[in-house]
Amino acid sequence: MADDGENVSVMTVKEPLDLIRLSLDERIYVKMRNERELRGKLHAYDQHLNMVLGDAEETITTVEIDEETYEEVYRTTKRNIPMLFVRGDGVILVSPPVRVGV
Amino acid sequence: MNPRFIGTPREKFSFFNTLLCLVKSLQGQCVTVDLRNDSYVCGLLLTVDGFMNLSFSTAVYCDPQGNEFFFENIFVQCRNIRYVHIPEHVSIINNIKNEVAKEVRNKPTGRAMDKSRKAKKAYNQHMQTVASLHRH
Repeated sequence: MADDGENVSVMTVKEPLDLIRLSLDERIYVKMRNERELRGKLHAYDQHLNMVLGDAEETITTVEIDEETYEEVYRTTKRNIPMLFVRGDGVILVSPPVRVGV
Repeated sequence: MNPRFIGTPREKFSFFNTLLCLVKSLQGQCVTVDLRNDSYVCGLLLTVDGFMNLSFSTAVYCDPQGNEFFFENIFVQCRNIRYVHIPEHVSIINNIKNEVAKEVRNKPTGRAMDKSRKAKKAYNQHMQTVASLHRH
C-alpha cells in the first residue's frame, strides 16, 4: 500500500463501515431498538455492528400517559456499565462523537 | 474448556471474523447477559457457539419483574441477547489474540483462511486494516 509521510492520519473510506473505523477509541452515540441509547468509548466493532463500548452509559426512554392530563410523559432511566459487548442486531444507528464547542 | 472450535464452516467464519471470539474468550468466567425482554442472566459461561448461542451453568435468571430464579443449566438463544457485560479485568485485545491463536495452533494445516473466496476477501481486508493501523 502506498503511503507518504504527510497523510499518515488519513484513512481511506471505501465502505460505510470505514466511517465507524474513524470513530475507534472515541466516544460514540449508538441508538438501539426499544428506545435505548448508548454512549461510550468504541473499543471494537465488527461487520454485524457488534461493538465493545467502554464506560458505556445506557439511557432507556419510556413513555407513560399521565392519568389526569392524558399527556405523554417521557421518563429516562440511566445506568453505567464499565465494559459492554453490544450485539449488533439491536443497533439502529451509530453516530461519531459530538464535537463540543464547534 | 475444549480448545478446538466445533461448528460448521459458517460458524468458524464468524468466529474468526467477528467479535464472537471475544465472547468465546469469556468462557469459564462469570458474566451477565442482558436479554431482549429486559431480563438478564448472570452465571458461569460454559459454551459459546458460532451463532453466539450461550449456555451457562449455575446461573441466576432475573425476569423483567425482578423475580430471580436459579438454574443449574441454562441455554440462551442468540437472538435474545442484547448486551454481554464484560468483566472489568478482561483485556479485550489480549483475549481476542489468545482465543484466535488457540484455534490456529490447533489447526493441523494452519491454512484456515484460504478456503472460500469470502474468507479470503475478508482476510485481505483485515490485513489492510491492520496495515493502515500500524502506520500511525
